[in-house]
Amino acid sequence: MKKLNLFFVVMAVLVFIVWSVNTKRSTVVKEEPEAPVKETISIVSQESSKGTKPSPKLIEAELSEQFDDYLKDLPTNDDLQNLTEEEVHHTPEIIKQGGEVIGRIHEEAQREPVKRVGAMGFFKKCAEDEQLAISIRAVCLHKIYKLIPEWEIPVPLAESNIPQEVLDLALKL
Amino acid sequence: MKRIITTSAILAFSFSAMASEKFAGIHLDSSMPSSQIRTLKSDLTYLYSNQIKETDPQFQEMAGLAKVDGPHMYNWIYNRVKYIIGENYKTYGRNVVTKKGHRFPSTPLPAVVANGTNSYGAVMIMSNVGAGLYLYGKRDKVLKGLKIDRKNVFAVSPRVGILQVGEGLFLESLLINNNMNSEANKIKRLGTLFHEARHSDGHSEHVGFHHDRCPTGHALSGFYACESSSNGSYSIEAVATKTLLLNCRTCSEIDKTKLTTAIADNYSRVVVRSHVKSEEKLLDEIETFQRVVEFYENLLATNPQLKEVYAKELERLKAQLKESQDQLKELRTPMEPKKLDPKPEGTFEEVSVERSSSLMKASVNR
Repeated sequence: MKKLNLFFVVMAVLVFIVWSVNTKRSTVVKEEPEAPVKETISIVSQESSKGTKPSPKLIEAELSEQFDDYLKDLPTNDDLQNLTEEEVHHTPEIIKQGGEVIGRIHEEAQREPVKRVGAMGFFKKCAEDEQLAISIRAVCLHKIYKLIPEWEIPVPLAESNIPQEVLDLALKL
Repeated sequence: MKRIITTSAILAFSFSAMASEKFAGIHLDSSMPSSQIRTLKSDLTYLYSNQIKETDPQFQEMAGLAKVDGPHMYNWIYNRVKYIIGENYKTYGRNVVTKKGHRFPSTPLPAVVANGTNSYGAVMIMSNVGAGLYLYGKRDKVLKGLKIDRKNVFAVSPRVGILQVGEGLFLESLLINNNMNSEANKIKRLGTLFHEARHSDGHSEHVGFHHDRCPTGHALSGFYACESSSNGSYSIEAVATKTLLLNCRTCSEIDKTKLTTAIADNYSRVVVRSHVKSEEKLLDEIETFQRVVEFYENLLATNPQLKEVYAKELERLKAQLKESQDQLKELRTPMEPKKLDPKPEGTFEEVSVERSSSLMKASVNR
């Protein structure tokens, strides 16, 4: 009888050990898929608190309009050809005014994140516009490269619309 | 009594407004309004005392500086700028002094000077009159100079350093923002000063680092507002402005963008190629010209009597075809802007950083 009791005790201990090991394993298995979920949630909550990362569809829609009117204030190659020898020796006034337009848009969008997608759209159009003065296009492209990681807004550029000289110039700034 | 006091006050005021001044070794001429003198003094002090923490990597090499800091940057300017005269100063007539018998170095002249094209003067913002006087003196074999503050200053080297400052340098419309003494405006004016100072350098065909005509296809095509070297006035203005901008403590985003646009504008003037057309465009042009030339050649082959009427047109088209073909060949050959030796010619004295710093300190402490 004593032997039987001892057998039951040993069995009970073994069952307990096996059960506890199994429980730990299932906990580990459960935790594994949870880890990336937690990470995703933290990123999403970070983005939503910034309120700056829109969906690709929204980007496309907003890229096209917000600051378009200001494009006409930027100097073109033709504008430069109409200047005098005296006016072109140093940086012409119209180039500086163009810089002011770009700077204002940057500053405004920096202050109000909701305008950032529109500002990026403006910089993209400016960089790709072959009518505009090369220095202005380069400054716009420079802004895009600088602000994509900062504002976390993807801006797909049409490479064929940006000549090598604009790209080279933008990278020097 | 009242009248005497008023007259004396007016006289004293006009005297103070017209007085020349030597600041940090640079003669600031009485032909400049006192407000401009004050602004320039403040700009030079800003440059000297600038705590440079970040620099454009190209700047040190291009300017040949042992170290990039305020005293070294000021020294670079001081070695190239000794006199600043105002817009109203007449650089002709009785102010011009000449001396015969001077022996100029027997180096060749830049083509623009030999051909009589003036790419130095006629600039309202700022111009290096000294380099022009030296070059035209050398061309005419007469030492030329200016009477500045009753003293004859002869241009024995482009390093004579006479700059003429125009109203444009201080015009509100040309400034970066409305505050004349803001850091951004100081940086813009100092960039221009670096540009003009570079015209005091160089020898032989590149004395004065003169500007070249911008090539066909460039936005400023036809203007003498480009350069084919990698270390000329536009390049030095770009890297100096960039260095100062990197260290600007009070520039707003708009200021920074405007200055960056000016830097981009300066870089865009550095053009090596004789054109900036794309390969695709040139191939298109060549194809078009080839077809038209072929047509005329066939026409004249079958109708020799038309030769008189169309021969000239055919020659013109052939010349255009050749030009496009040459441009394509050039485009397919890798090219980089050449670095020119900035060593100046003529007689000049290189001033040490210690000396220019002591001149600055004496002026600031006065």
